[in-house]
Amino acid sequence: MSSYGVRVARNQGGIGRGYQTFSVELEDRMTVLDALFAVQRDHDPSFTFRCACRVGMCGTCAVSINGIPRLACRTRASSLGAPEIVVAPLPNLPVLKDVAVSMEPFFEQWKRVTPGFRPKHPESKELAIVPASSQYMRMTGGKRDCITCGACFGACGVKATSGEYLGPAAINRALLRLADPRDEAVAPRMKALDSERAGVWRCHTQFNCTAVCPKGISLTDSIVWLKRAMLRRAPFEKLP
Amino acid sequence: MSWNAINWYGQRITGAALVLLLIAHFWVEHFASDQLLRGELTYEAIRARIASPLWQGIDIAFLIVALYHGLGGLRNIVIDHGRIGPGAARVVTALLIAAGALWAWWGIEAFQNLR
Ligand code: SF4
Ligand code: FES
Repeated sequence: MSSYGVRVARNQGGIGRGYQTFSVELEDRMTVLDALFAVQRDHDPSFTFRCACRVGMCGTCAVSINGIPRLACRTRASSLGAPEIVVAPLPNLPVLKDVAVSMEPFFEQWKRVTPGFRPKHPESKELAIVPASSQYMRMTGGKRDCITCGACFGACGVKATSGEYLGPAAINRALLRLADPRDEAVAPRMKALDSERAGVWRCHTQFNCTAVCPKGISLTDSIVWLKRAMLRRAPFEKLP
Repeated sequence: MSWNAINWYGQRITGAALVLLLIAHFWVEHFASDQLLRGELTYEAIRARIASPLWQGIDIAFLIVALYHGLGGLRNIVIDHGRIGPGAARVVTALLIAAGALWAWWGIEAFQNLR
């Protein structure tokens, strides 16, 4: 057992009420999410945070931990190497209460890239097979695991100043759909991506998103890939 | 290719050109001049060099590239900060283009007045 000072942000009704520190005992393998539960259970039942799966699958528990957006359930307290753990809400999103944020701005941007699958042949009864050896599968291998946690959105320096920017996760999603040989909705996605104020051109290649993504998605690579493709007039239809 | 793509590419190309032009500029202005090395640099020596059409071409290219990159960068900062709407951004763009054109004319004009 080790003892930690858990310093959590308090916020009520959109008004910041500073930080409060609670003393918490944790086993070696316990996570920051366990620390938040301990705060709620042993100190203040009104302390608010979000979580669901507790195994890094749902993306609900993303918070800022010692200044870096991460999943609380995938961050072992001992890995932080400090006796104090500072937990704050994800940046760039409105705070609902304490460290829980509203994901609405994130999904507003997500919707703008037409994230759903739009089949080329909706009437077809044939299975649309995409072989594992296809260019689509090879190119998107490390990019398909997004759990919409919003960590990249919180870490993005451009998002910090621009409410209009799509953000890394939505852009990565657009790339996946554009590159999918079964999908046909190129024009609406290109329109969103090519927007000067909201699209890919705003990215400054800071790599903050890539650094924090808990799924290891190379988001900066997706954005740069799209910029290059758009310079070559979007050859998405040609992908096999 | 969209206007936004061309503009983004233009910033990259002019950025790379500026690296080369700046190195050449510093080299020629501060290290490669015999008179300078002997401590005898005069207006005459500078005037003789920039009277040559080749040097005028290089200097005017330098001026235009620097203006495009610098003013384009300023415009990017304004848009990045997202504090102004699309209408105001268009006004900023028009003002920066006007400032750039005036500045370029002023720099090019200077070559007419060499004495
Ligand atoms: S791309 Fe990564 S950091 Fe961004 S929302 Fe998806 S899983 Fe989270
Ligand atoms: S609780 Fe689901 S990812 Fe952390």
